[in-house]
Amino acid sequence: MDQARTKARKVIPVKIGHLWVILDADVVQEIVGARAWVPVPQSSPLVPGVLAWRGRAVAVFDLSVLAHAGAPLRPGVERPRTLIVQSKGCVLAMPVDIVREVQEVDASLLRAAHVTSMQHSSLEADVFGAPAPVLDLGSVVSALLEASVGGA
Amino acid sequence: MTLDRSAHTTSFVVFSGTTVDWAIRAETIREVVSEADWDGDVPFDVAALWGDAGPPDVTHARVLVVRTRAGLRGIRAGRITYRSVDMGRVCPLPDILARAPASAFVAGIVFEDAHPALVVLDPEGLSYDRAGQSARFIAHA
Repeated sequence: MDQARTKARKVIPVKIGHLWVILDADVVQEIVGARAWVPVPQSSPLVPGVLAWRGRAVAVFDLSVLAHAGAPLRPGVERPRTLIVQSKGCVLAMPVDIVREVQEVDASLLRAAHVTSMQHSSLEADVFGAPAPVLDLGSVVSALLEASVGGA
Repeated sequence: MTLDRSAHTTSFVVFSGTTVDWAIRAETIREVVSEADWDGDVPFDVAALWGDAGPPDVTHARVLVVRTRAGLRGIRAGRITYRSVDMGRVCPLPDILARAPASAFVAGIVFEDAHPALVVLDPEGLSYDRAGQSARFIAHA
């Protein structure tokens, strides 16, 4: 029983466009509704702007650009749900179309990505009957921070 | 521009787009002239830089003449208003955008429930090569 618990991993399925993506629940700070965001000109399509969260400006991370699913964010357009996520001390706001409740997935059901192909994802698992990529948010943040230091 | 967040309020000249407003510290503005009377370089088109598709407010087209270390700069604006801003509410851009070109000319953002977000501009940044070239390119397009 205890061993089974240690193998369980809490995840949150989110949908962007047609694609389900799995997030580790540990990285999610809050799930809020649609939030207006402010475009930042000449920024990466992955981080097109900022929004307000707890009195500060938080970078908006557009999962649709990374996953090549759904339409990229455009100024004035919001998505129904916004996840506030944190990794490596960096807080990001991730607007998505749908968020489902936390699920416990046996770690053994997470497998190396074969069917799915998404940058910053090396694992996949079945969600609602179809394989979905597991987003490695730490890898995303590292890449974004590296770009911010390197001046990409 | 280093924002003095210890100051309680600062006066800004504000002009609007369709989704955001922009603010420039009032004390840096030397004069406001009609676009027809501006004879300097092509004024920076902030709305175009933001990809703002709002209708041009031709009846209020004017140029804010701003003092910078590089000299006088023109910034295109429509209708302008004045607003006092509590500097403690100006949020800096997050670190992850620290090297985005916009960080050179965006000093911070004020989020207000009753108004569109207010982007505080740093006119000095508009004269940096990277941002300036881009702004000019858009202004000429």
